[in-house]
Amino acid sequence: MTSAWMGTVKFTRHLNFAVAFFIFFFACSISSQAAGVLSQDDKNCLECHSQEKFEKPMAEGEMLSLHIPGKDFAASVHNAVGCTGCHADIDLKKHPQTSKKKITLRSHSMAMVQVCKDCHDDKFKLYEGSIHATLLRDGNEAAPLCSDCHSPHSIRKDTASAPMAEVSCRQCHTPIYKAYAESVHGQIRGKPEGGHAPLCPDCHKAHEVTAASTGNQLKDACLGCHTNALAVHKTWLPNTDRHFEAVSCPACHAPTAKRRVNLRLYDSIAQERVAEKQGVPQFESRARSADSKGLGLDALALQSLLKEFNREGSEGKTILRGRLEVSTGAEAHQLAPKARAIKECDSCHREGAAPFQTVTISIVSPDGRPLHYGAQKEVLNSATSVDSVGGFYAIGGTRIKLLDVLFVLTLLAGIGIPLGHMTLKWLFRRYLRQIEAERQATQPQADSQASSGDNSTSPTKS
Amino acid sequence: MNVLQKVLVVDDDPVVGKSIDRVLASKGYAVIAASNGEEALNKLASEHYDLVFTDIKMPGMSGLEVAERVKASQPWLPVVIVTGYGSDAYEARAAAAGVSEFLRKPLSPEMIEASTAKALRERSPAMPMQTQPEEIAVPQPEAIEKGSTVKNIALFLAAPFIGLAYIVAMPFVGIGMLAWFGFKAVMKR
Amino acid sequence: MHRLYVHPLPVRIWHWINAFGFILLIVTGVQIRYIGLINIMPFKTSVNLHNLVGFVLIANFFLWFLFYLFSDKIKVYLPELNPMKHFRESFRQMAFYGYGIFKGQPNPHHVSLYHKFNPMQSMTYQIVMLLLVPIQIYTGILLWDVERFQTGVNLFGGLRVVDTVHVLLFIFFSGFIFIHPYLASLGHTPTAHFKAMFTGYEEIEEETEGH
Repeated sequence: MTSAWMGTVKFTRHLNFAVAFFIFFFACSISSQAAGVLSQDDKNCLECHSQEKFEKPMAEGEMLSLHIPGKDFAASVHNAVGCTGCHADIDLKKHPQTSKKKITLRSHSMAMVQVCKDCHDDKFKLYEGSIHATLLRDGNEAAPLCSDCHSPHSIRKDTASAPMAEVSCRQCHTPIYKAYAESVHGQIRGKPEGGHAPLCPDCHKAHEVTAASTGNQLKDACLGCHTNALAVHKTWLPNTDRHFEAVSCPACHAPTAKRRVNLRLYDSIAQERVAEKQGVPQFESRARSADSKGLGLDALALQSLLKEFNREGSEGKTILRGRLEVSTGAEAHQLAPKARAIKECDSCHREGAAPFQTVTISIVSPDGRPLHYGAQKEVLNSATSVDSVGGFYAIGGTRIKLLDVLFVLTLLAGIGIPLGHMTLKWLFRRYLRQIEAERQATQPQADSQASSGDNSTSPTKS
Repeated sequence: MNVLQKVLVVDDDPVVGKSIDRVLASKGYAVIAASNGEEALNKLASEHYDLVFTDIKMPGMSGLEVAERVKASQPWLPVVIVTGYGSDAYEARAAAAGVSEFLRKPLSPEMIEASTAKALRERSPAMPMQTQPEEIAVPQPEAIEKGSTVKNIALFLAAPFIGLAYIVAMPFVGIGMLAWFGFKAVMKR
Repeated sequence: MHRLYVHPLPVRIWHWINAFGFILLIVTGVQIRYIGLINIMPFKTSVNLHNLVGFVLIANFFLWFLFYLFSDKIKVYLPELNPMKHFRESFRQMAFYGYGIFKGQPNPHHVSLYHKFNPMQSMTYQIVMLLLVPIQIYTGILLWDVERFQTGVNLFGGLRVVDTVHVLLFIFFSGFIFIHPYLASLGHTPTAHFKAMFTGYEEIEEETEGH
C-alpha cells in the first residue's frame, strides 16, 4: 500500500517535470526565434553581404569588409533596427554605388559615429567627456570610436559578461591588459567557470573613461567593492586616513611595482588639482627654466617654481600635495592577493626606502592626463623644502638631514658639557681643598673682615 | 571680639611681604607692606600697628635704623629682623635696639608664625590700648587674596613669554655689560 | 642645616612620571625616526608605545598645570618682573656654574618655599613647561591623527612643518634629559636634590659667611 502510493507520487513528479521542461523548451525556442529572425529586407541585403571576403577598396589601399555574418546579426540587438535603420543612406536603386571619391576606413568609422549617436545619445554624451574623446578632438588617429569597441553587427545584450579576453580595451592597452590578466582580479575573472571580479569598465567606466591618476574615481572604485577596507586597515595601520589619502592602493597591493613620490600641484583654496589652461602650456616651460642644469628640480628650483605658480594665480594658492604611487599604469594593475600586499612599515619608513628614490612634480594637462616633470630625490630631505613640500612627509623615510645633524650635536653637547664640567671640577679639586683649609683657619675672626674677601662673590641681596 | 592685628613688613623685595601675608592672612592678621624705611616710618606715624618685620639691607635707610627709630618712638611695638646674611655685629646692634627676634632667611611658614606669636605674647604691657576705628581702613584680606590670584594666574601664563624676552635680551645685556666693564677698566688706566 | 618642604607630593608624582615618560618617548621617538639604524623594537610597536606614553604624559601635564594654577605654589613659576634684578642674578648664577663652583664659592641662589628655582632655572622652566611642552603636546596630537586634525595641520603650515617643530623640540628635550640630572647632582652633596625629589624636603645649608 505504501509502496503503491509512493509509486504514484513518483509518477506525478515525473509528469510535472516533463511538462515544465516542455514548456521551458518551447518558450526558449519562441524567444530565440523572435530575436533570430531576419526581416525579408535584411535577408535581401544578406544575400550578397553574407559572402565571406566581400570587400571594398578604400583610400590608401585599405579594404573595408562588407561581410556581415548573418547568424550573428540575427542574434544581435540591432536586428530589431534592421539594416536600413543605420544604413539609411543606401539607395537600393543605385546600390552598389561606385563613387570615385575614396575615403579612409577611419573617416568612414567617424562618419558612422553620427549614426550611433542618433539612438545612443546618452552614451555619446558620456563618451564626449572621456579622455578618448579628448584625444579624438586633438586629432589623435588612434583614439577609439564607437565601432572600435562595439562591433555593430554582432552586439548583444550580454557582451559585458563575455569572456575576459574579448574586452576591447586590450587592443590598445596591451601591457596593461597583460598585467591585469595576471593580477588577482584577472585570475579570478579568467577562471573557466567565470569568477566575480572587475573587468576594465568596472573601475574605469565604459564610456566616460578618464585619466586614471588624476581623480579619486579609482580609489572610490576599489572601496566601492572592498567596502570594509578602511575598517580592516584601521585595525592595524596607524594614521589610516592619512595613509589612504597619501598612498595609492596599488602602492602596497602591487608589491612588485616600482613606486615613486608624485608631488601634485594643488590649489588649496579651490581644493582641486591645478590644471593647465587650455592653449597656454606653462608647466613644462616653467619647470624647465627653474631646472637650469637639467638634472631634475632641486629644493630651490621647486621653491621658485611654486612661487611662479602663485604669482599670477591670485585666485588660488598653489601648494604641493605629495602622494606615493606606482610609476606606470601597467604596474597599477599588478594587484596581488591580499596576503602578498606590503604590510611592513619600514618598507617606506626608513632611510633610503625605495619609494623615495624617484620624485616627480605633476599638473593636470588640458586633456585630463597628468603631466610630469622629474625632481631630485633630495627635495624630500632638504631643509629648504620644509615649506614647499610641506604637505608630504613620511616619518623615517623623508626626514630632514639638517635635523639629524642637530640631534647628533645636541647629544654630543648633552654628554660633553657635563663631562667637561666634571673634568674642570676634578682639575680644580686640589685648589678647592686648599681654599677650604684656608677658610677654616681664618673662620673665627673672618666675620668683620669684609675687605679681605675679594675672591668671593659680593653679598647677595636678601 | 576678635580684631585684626596689623603687621607691617618692610622689605624692598615685595615677595617677602607676600609670603608673610600668605602665612598670616588666614590667622587673623592684616599684613601691610612698605618697600623702604621712610615709607615704613610714615605709615607707623599715621596708623596703629601691632608688629613690624624688617629686612636689613635696603636702599636708603637700613632695617637696623628702622628698628632703632621704631623703638625710640613706640617702645611697646615689637620688631622682628629678617635677613639673609646675619652677622654677629648686626645681631648685637639689633639686640641693643630691643628687637624681639632676629630671623634668618629663608623663612618657613612655621618660623613666621612662631615669631609672630612670640613677639605679640612678649610685647610690653606698657602698650597703650587703642580704640579700633581703623577696621574700615584695613583692606579685606579676602579681596586682596582674590585679586592676587587672578594676577598670579595671568603672570603664570605670561611667564614663558617674559622668559623668552629675557633669553633674547640676555646676550645683548651680557655683551653690553662686558663692554661697560671694559670701558671702565680702560678709563681707569 | 635645616629641612624645607619645597616639593609637594603632586609635584613629585608628576616629576617622576614625567621623567620616565620622557625617556620612553625619546627612546621610541628615536626608534621611529631612525629605524634601520637602531633596532630596539619593531616600528609599529614603537609607534603604538609612543602614542600611549604621549597620552599618559598629556594627562600628567594637566595634573602639573592644575596643581600650580590652583595652589599658592604658583609663585614658583611667576616671572621676575624687574629685568635688572633678573639679569644681575642670572649672570651671578652663570658665574657660579662657570667659575665660582670650581673655587668652592657658595651657590648664590638660596632655596626658599616660593623660590625653589634660581633665576636661570625659573626662566628655563617657565619656557619649557608653559610653552615648549604645550607645543610638543599640540604637534604630537596633530601627528597622531593627521587627517582628523587636517585643519590644525594646515594652519601650522603643513605636515612637514608640524613634524619639524615636533622633532626640533624632541632634540631640545633630548639634550635636556642629559643636562638636567647633571645640574641636579651639583647640590651640596651629589645626591641631595635627587633625595629631595623623593622626600619633598630640600636640605638648606646655613649661611656661614657674614658679609
